[in-house]
Amino acid sequence: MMSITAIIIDDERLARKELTSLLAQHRKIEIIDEAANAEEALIKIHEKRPNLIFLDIQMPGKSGFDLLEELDYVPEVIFTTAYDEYALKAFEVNALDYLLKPIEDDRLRDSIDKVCEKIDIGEPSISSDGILTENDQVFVKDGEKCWFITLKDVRYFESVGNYVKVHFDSNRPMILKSLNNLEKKLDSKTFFRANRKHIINLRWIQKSETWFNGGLLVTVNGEETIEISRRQAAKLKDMMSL
Amino acid sequence: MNTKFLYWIAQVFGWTTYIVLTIILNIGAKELNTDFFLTMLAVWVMGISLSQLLRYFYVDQGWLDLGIKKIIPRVLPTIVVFGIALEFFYYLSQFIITSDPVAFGGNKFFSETISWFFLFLIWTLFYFSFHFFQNYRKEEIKNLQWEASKNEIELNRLRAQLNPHFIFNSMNTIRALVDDNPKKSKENITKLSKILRSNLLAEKKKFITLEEELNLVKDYLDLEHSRFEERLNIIYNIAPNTSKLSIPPMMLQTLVENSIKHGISQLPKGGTVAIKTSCDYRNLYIEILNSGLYQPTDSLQPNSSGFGLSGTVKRLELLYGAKGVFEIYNKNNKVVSNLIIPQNINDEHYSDNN
Repeated sequence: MMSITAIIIDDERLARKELTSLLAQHRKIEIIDEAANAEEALIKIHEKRPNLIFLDIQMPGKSGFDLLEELDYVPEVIFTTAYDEYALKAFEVNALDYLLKPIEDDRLRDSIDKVCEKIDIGEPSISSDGILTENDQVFVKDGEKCWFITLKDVRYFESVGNYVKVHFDSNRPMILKSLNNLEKKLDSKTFFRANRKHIINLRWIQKSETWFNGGLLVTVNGEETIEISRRQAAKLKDMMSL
Repeated sequence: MNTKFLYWIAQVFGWTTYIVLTIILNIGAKELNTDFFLTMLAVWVMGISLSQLLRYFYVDQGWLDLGIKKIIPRVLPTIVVFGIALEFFYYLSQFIITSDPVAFGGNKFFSETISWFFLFLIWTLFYFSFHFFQNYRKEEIKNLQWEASKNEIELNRLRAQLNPHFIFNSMNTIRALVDDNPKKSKENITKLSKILRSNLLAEKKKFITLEEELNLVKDYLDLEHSRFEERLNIIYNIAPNTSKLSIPPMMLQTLVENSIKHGISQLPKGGTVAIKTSCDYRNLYIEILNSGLYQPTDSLQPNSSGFGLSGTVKRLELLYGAKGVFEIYNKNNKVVSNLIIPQNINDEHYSDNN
């Protein structure tokens, strides 16, 4: 088995050192770099594309959450925090994996095992051109809540003003991005621009019927219907007809 | 005990005054013979007895605790009954004393009953107002006591708790130091213990000396320096004559903690915390300067300095009234926090210090 590459992100040198020495016993994890703040981390994650990051929440300048929101490529994340009520709440609501400092050996082992499992199962999806496939995950934060969303779980993206609403499960968090930018980053085999306001996940379409002016009306997840404009409908038919 | 005595004095004095006034008013109108005086004595005895019974009745029925609207329809008929009763006894006593068969009833009965009625009405008015006054004072004392205990609780609550984030981060630092620098890790454990101890003891004392508080702050900043290393610079500028002055425990500590939490720890390159003290014959002045930017809007967020700062303001107000001052503002890219702590320095102390 290949070793898992990791970057430690924490503003305190001694905290990084402590975690490094704890990780020394875990052969699977290979620490390829460290970062002392979000800016540094952003560059290093882009450059080195680690499988995993150990991320402190409270850092000067940008927090760990801010960093994740800026990342296009989101590796597996294990949060580390000393005590941060706000963050703990977010973790517990969404069952994210986190470690409390000082870190317990056993807890660390559990977290690493979980990550290994996930990385083994997940297809090696990292495409060098930076396109996000359906197996990639993104980090989304809306107010107090945050999620790691695997893209295949997203039914569709909806543009609302300057924001994009992400429809998955029963949640609809908003992210500050434009639909056009999003379209460029998403794998066009799975994610299709239905009209000015929607990008839909083709795998979630349950049925489609003809609509006005040669357009289509597709049903997603039972009740939700989205209109596909005439021009896009032609494109879709092209795609589907081999 | 005291109120009971007061009640009896009022009772005896009131009825005696009434009898004396009646006798004086009757000079010339009636023959002041033994029978008349005996009758008056009887009225005195009956008055005291009946009003005593009336009081017992009021207390027993719990009318004292009712509102005025409920009291009137209950008390008035009662007084009428008591008026009639007194008239009956008065008639009886006259009959016994003068052994003269006076006719019972008629106009005389009516006018006399009315006057007894008014007598009991006045008695009742006195009694109730005395009772209300007494109650009002009791309520007032209760309120004051409640207010005092509320303030005490509030003060304890406001004595800022140590920031858990700091405790666990320090523990983590110490853990990293165990292999690297065992001596320093031992020192840090001692310092953290001292901080935890003084935080526990802080609730027991209202004031401590600045020296004691500064020892705590120094331990705290040493630990933070272990965490932030070269990112934290510390400057002390302590006037020697301020070391014995008094300060509420944890007050300076809270502000220094804020300056780290919202100042230094937010800056990727770190910064400086400078503490300066001075005094005059009235006040202790403390100034904390730290790198960073104070954002007043922060106080709206639960996760921010809001509690620490508003807590400091409230504590000062509860302890010193308007004389204690706290202010915080930005100046030349630094945050300035000023504390003015009033001192009860007597002349002797003052001359000692100079």
